[in-house]
Amino acid sequence: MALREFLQYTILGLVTGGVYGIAASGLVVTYTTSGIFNFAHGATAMLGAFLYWQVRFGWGWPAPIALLFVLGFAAPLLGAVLHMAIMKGLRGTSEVTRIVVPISVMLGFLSLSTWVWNPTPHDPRIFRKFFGASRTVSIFGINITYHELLAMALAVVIALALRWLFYRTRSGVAMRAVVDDPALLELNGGRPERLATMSWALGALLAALAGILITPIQGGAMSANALTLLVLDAIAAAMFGRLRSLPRTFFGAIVLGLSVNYVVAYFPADKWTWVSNFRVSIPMILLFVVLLALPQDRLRGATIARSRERFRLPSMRTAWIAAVSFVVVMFLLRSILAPTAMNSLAFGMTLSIIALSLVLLTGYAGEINLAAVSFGALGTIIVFHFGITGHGFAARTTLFGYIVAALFCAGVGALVALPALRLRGLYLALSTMAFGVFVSDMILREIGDRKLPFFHTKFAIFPSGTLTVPRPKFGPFDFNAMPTFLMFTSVLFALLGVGLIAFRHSNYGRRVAALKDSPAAAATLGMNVVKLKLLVFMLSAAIAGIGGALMSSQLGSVDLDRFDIFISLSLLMLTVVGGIGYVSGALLGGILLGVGFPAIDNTFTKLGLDHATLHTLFHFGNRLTLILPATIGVTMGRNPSGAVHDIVTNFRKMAKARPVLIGAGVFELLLYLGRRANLYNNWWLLVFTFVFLQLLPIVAKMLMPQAFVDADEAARGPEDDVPLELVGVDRPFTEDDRLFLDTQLGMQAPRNGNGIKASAAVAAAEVEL
Amino acid sequence: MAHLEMHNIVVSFGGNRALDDISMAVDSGIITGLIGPNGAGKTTLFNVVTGLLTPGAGHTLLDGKDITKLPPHRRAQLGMARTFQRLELFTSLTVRDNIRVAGEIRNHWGVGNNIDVHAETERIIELIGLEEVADREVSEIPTGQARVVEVGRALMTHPRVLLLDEPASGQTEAETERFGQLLRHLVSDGTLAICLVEHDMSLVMRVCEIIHVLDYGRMIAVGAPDEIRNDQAVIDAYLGAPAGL
Repeated sequence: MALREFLQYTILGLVTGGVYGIAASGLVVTYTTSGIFNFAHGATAMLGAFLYWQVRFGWGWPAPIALLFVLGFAAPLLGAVLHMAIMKGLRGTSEVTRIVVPISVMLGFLSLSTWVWNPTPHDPRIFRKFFGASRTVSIFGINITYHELLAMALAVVIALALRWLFYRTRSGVAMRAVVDDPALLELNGGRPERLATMSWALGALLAALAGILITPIQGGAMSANALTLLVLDAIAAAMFGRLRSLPRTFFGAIVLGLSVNYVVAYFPADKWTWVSNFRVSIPMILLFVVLLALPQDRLRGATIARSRERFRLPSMRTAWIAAVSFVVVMFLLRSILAPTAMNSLAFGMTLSIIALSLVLLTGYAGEINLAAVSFGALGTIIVFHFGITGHGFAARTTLFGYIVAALFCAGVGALVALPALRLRGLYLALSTMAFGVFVSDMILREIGDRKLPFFHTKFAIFPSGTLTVPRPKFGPFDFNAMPTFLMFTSVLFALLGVGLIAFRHSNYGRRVAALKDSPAAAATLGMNVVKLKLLVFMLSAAIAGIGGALMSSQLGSVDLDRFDIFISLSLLMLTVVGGIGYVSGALLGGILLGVGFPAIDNTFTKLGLDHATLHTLFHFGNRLTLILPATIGVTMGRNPSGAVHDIVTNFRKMAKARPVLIGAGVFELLLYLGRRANLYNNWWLLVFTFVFLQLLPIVAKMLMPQAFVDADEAARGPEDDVPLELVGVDRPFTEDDRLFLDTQLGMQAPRNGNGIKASAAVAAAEVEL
Repeated sequence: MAHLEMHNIVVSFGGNRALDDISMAVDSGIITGLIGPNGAGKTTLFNVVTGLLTPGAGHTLLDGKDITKLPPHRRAQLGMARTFQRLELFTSLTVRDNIRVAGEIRNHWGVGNNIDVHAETERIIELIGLEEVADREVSEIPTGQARVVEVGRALMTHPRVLLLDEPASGQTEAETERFGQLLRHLVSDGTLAICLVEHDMSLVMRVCEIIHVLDYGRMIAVGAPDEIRNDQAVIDAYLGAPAGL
C-alpha cells in the first residue's frame, strides 16, 4: 500500500515536473538568445491557456484545430511581436529597464485577461483534461490519465528536440552564438535580431503549451494570477541550470515536481495546517537553496559604455527648496480637497514613501527589489503587534513600533538579499520576487493561533486575516485627524527625500554611485562590494517597512490583498516611469498608483452609472485604464530616464528666465485662489495647471529668447540621433561631427598642428574596434 | 625587492589557452613593460592578478604573500591598484568625485591609517594635471584625459603596485610626453612598482627598464628595451613570422 502510494505520487510528480520543464525551457531559450529575462513568461502561458479555452470551449472548435491555432499560430506570433515591438528596443539600457519592461508586459497581460475573460467564482473558466478524466492506462497498478501521459511524453520530446535544435541545426547553433557576441555573429553573416525573434516565438509556444497542460492537472479552474506566477516555478527550475543549461533545467523541474507532490503525500496536513501554504511556497524555497549553492559571478564592469539612463542629482539647496515648496503645496491643497480625495491622497503619499525605498535601492545603487510592498507587510505586522497603545477610538501606533518595524525589516532584508548579492542583479530581483510570494502565501496566511515552542504562549502572525492598524501618535503629537495625517505623511516624505539626497551627496552616496557604475572598478579600489550592497538593501527595506505600516494605518484595516506581489511590481513600474533616480519620481509613482489610476477608474465607473446609454463606452474606458499603466511601462524602453527627467531638463532651460518663473508662480497662485473662491472645482484646477505647465516653456521662450540659448547649445550633441558609424550615410558629415570625433579621440584640431599623432590615434582606435 | 610575482599562471577559455604558464615579476622603483599584439593575454593577466578572474593554475604573490585566493577588494587593500583598458570610470560622478571617492573607499578599508581625502584629492588632481576639467562630468571629457582620471583614481589608494592597461591610448603626443614624466616621477622614490601595458612603443621604450613580451598567451621574451627591440621572436610576433614556418 505504501509503495503504491509512493508510486502514485512519483508519477504525479514526474507529470508536474515535465510541465515545469516545458515552461522553464522556454524561459531559458529566450534568456540565452536575447539576454532579456522574460518575467512575462508565466503571463504568456496564462494568455495561451485562456485563448485555448476560448476557442476550444468558448467557441467549441475541435481540440486538434484549437491546439494548432494556439500553438502553431497565436502563441508564436505573440512571442515574435513581443520581441520585435518591445524587447528589441532594450539594447543599451540598464539592467533595471530590462527587468521593468518585461514586468510591465506581464502586468499588461494580466489586465488584458481580466478585461476579456474575467473568471469569477460564479462564472469560472474550466477546462478538462485531454481525452477526458476517465481514459486511463495502468502502470504498475497505478491509473494514469491519457492527459498526464501526454504531458510526460511531450516533456521528453521537447527536451530531446531542443537539444537537437541547439546542437545539430544551423539556426540553433547560431542562436547560441547570439548570446556570446551578437556583433561577431552579424559579421559572420548571422542575423541576431531574426534569431532572437525566432527564440521569442519558440519561448511563447512552450509557455502556452505548459499553460494548457497544467491547468487541468491543477484542477481545471483557470486563475490568471496563479498561471502568471507559474513563472516562479519555471524560474526555480531554470535556476538549476543557471538559466543556461537545458538538461539541468529539466532535472530541476523534475526535482521541483517531485518535492511538491511528496510534500502533499507525506506531510500530515491535518496536524500541520501550514502544509498547503508550504506546498505553494516550495518553488520559492528551492530557488533560495539553489541561489545559495551558485558560485560567485565574475564582477562585471560597466556593461554598457554609455547607458541611456541619465539622472541629474539636485544640489542640497534645490532639494530643500523643493521639499519646502512641496509641503506648502500640500498645505494649500489640504483646504480645497474633499475628505475622500484627502484620504486617497494620503494613501498615495504612503505609497510614495515605499517608492522612496526603490529610489535609494534602484535609482542610486542599481539593485532591484520586486517585493517592496511585502516589506511593508512585515512592517505592518510588527507595528500591529508591538506598536499599539490605547483601545477603540483612542488606539494609536507608537514611534517605538515604527522603529522596531524599521529594524526588523532591515534584518529580514539582509536575510533575503545576502544569498543573491554576490550574484548578478537579476538574481537579487528574482529572490525578492520569491520572497514576496512567500510572504503572501505563507506569512500573511498565518491567521490562526500557533503555540510557540519556547514561550508557552499562543501567537498569530496575521490574526483572523485582517489587521486593524490605527494612525500614529508620537509623544504629544497626535496625527489621527485627517488633514493632520496627510500633512504628517507629506512632511515625512519631504524629509526622507531630502535625507536621500543628502545621502547621495555624502561619501556613502558617492561610494554607492561608484558601485552602481562599475562594480569591477570599485572592487579593485578595495571596496567590499557585498557589504555596501547589503547596507543599502537593509536601509531600503527599513524605509519600505515604515511606508507599508503607514499605508496600513491610513487604510485603518488591511488584509493580504493589500500586499500582493503585483502591487509591488506596479509600484516599481510606475516609479521607473516617473524616474527611479529622482525623489520626485517616487512621488509621481506613488501618487499615480494610489490616486491617479484609481481616480480615472472611479470617474469612468461613475460616468457609466450616470449615463446608462453610454454605459458600454465608459465600461470600455474603464477597462482601458486597467491596462494603461502597463502600456506606459512598456514604453520605458524608449525613455528609460523617466518622466521627471524630461520635466527637470525642460525646466532647467528656464533657470535663467527668472522673471518668467516668478510670473508663473503668481499665476498658479491666482488659479488656486480662483478655486478657493469657488469659481471652478478641483478638476478644473488640475486641468488648468496641467495646460499651464505644458505651455510655460513655450511662453517663456517667446518672452525671453536670450535666456534659452545656452541651454539649447548644451542639450545638443552631434551623436544625438544617428549612430556615429552611420554619420555620413544617414545624414551629411558636418564640422560638428569632426570636432566631436577629434575630442573623443583626444586629438587637437588640425589648425593647432599635431597631425602625425592624430593619425596614430586613429590607427589605435581602429585596432580597438 | 620584488613586489609582485606571478608563478606559472594558466587560464583557459574553453579549449583556448589565453595564458600558458606565465611567470613574471614586477619590482618597485622601476616601470616594468608588458607588451604584445592584441589578444596576447595582457588584460587577462591583469584580471588574474587583481582577482577579477580565477586562473586554472598558478600563484600570485604580493610581497611574498600568496594572494591567489583573495577577493579583489582584499588585494586592493594590500596595496594593488589598476586602470582598465575599456574605461571603467564612475560615469555618474564628476572628475573630482571620481578621484575623491577612491580616497573615501580607502578610508573605509577598516585598516586605519586614514588619509585626508580633500587635501589628497586636490594634490592628485594637480599631480595628474587635470585642474581644468576637475568639475566636468567624467562622461564628457576626451578619452585621453579619462585614462588619466583612472590613473589618478588608482593613486588615491596609495598603492604599492600599480597596473596600467593602455593608459596612453587616446592621448595626444603632448599628453603622452607629460604622462611619461608622471610615471617616472611616481617610481622615483623607489616604493612604487608599476606594470605598464601599452601599444605606444616609443613610450614603452622610453620609460620601462625591463619589458616582457606576450604572444598567444606565452611569454616569448624578457629583457631591457634594447634587447627587445632586436629580438627576432618579438619582431616575428609583431610583423608575422617568415613564410615556411
